Amino acid sequence: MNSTPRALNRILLGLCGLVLMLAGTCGAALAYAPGFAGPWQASTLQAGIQIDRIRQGTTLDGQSDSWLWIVLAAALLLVAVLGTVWIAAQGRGRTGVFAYTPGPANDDAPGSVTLTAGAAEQALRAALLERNDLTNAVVTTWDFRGGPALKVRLFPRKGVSPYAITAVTTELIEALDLVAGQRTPVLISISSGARSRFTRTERVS
Amino acid sequence: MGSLLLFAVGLALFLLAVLPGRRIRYVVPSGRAAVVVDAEVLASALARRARQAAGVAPEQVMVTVGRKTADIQVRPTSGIPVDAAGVQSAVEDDLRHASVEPLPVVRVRIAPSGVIGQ
Repeated sequence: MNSTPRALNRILLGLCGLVLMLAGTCGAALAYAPGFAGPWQASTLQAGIQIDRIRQGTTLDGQSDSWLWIVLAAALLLVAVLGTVWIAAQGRGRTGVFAYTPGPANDDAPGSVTLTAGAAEQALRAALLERNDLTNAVVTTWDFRGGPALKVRLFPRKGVSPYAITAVTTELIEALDLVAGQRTPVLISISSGARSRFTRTERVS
Repeated sequence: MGSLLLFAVGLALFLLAVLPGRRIRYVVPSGRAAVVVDAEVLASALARRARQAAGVAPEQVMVTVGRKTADIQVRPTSGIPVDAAGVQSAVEDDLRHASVEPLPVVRVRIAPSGVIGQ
């Protein structure tokens, strides 16, 4: 539900893995395969000569070093900025507005109506926590496809049927729909936390 | 030696990227909301149902829910046989009632030795 760039994360992780696997394979081949060392040495020598040529080609007259170093520094700075952006992009997407209605277009009654996320979250959570078969309930509001969406995390006691909890929660959400006057997309996630593992089993149902 | 370690770390990262996530979840169809259930929650609900069907204490039933299977292990009380087919049908009935997707295959195993004093 949050806007974590999952595809990007997977691609980066896979690329890191591939690079490490390649480096490991090369290292192992150098250490254990005698036939690999000769061609490897030749190709690295060639690459060293190539790099030297590039370095000399990019050194301006009167300067002692290539200007490629400055480009390299700028590129690394860019990588650092991109990395920071990537970190900041993880897990975002919570919103503080549950419902918003702009006022009428004509000037009879100017103004708009906003329901904050806290109103819906607290109402739903309070209703859910009255139930004995739940140890905890967490309700949060997220931006989802251009509008608000509710995420309801439920932590049932041991042995409680997920179907029964779903039915009850759906009823509560439909009541909220009536009050708010709109049908918000809802995700219900039923998981077991530490408290549901260690507290007593719900015996009466 | 170091390069082999490097390869192993790389392989682990690559597999993490390619394989599906580790948390097993099931979907419960609902008209109003999208509902996902952790396998652990499903397992504890099935354990309760299996325990009632077998007539044993909670400690004698162990349920493991995987991606496509639900394994139910029952250790009967010594001298009181447990009806495996009964447990199986009770659990399957519960699963059908909850209509989780994908419907896991239920396997019931009754331990050959019983426990005393439950």
